[in-house]
Amino acid sequence: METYPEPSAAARPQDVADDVREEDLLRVLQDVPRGAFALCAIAVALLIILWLAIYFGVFLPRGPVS
Amino acid sequence: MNEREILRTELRWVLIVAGAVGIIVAVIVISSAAMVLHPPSNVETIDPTALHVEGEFVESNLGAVENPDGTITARILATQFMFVPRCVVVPAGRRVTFRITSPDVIHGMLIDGTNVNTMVMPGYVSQVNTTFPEPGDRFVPCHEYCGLGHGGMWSMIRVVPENEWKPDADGRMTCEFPY
Repeated sequence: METYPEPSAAARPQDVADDVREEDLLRVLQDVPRGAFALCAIAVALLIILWLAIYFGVFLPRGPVS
Repeated sequence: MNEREILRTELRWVLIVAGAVGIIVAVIVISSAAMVLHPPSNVETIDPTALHVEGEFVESNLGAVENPDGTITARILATQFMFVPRCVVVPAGRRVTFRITSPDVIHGMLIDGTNVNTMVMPGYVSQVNTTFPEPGDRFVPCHEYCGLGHGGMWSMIRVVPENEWKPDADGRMTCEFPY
């Protein structure tokens, strides 16, 4: 049975990882989590504020049910 | 950034998310306890084939009636393709108990601008308690597809100010036509 060699991940230029220096990578990683943290915090804060606004501004004024 | 710092960041984020969920749960629990809010639940069976001949849903007993304690009970029949009665009068600011059932298929009832929203199933009595803070006409559509006439199945709750609530000797008041 004829076998074919597995193609290498580096066979095409777009599959080859960028040539990044280790110190550059570490420098970027220092900053990214802080930005992501700020973005997540803003998103969650907006979610909570909007939820509270709908609960107190729409749901409760519509009268109690039981 | 070393692994210890990443772990610390993740733990900090877990605390923030837990705090956010805690705020929402606390608001729901405290307001539910303070205002006696809970999802309407009432398991009560009734013979759907005998609604028109006996029991509380005979035609003469439908509509709003004032109870001896001043609260209101409104009995409504949801049937293909109308609510009976077509218009129910209730006073603002009083506790109103809606009791609804169906003789034929599953219907739904919601009162526009309020949190009243219930399924109406043949064989069961749906019950919802609420209070209308403001007078006004409230649109009440059927919100469960019940057949070809579903789109035309609606009724109205007319909330009148306390001084306009003038029930007859039986404690009943009906809408003035046209409505």
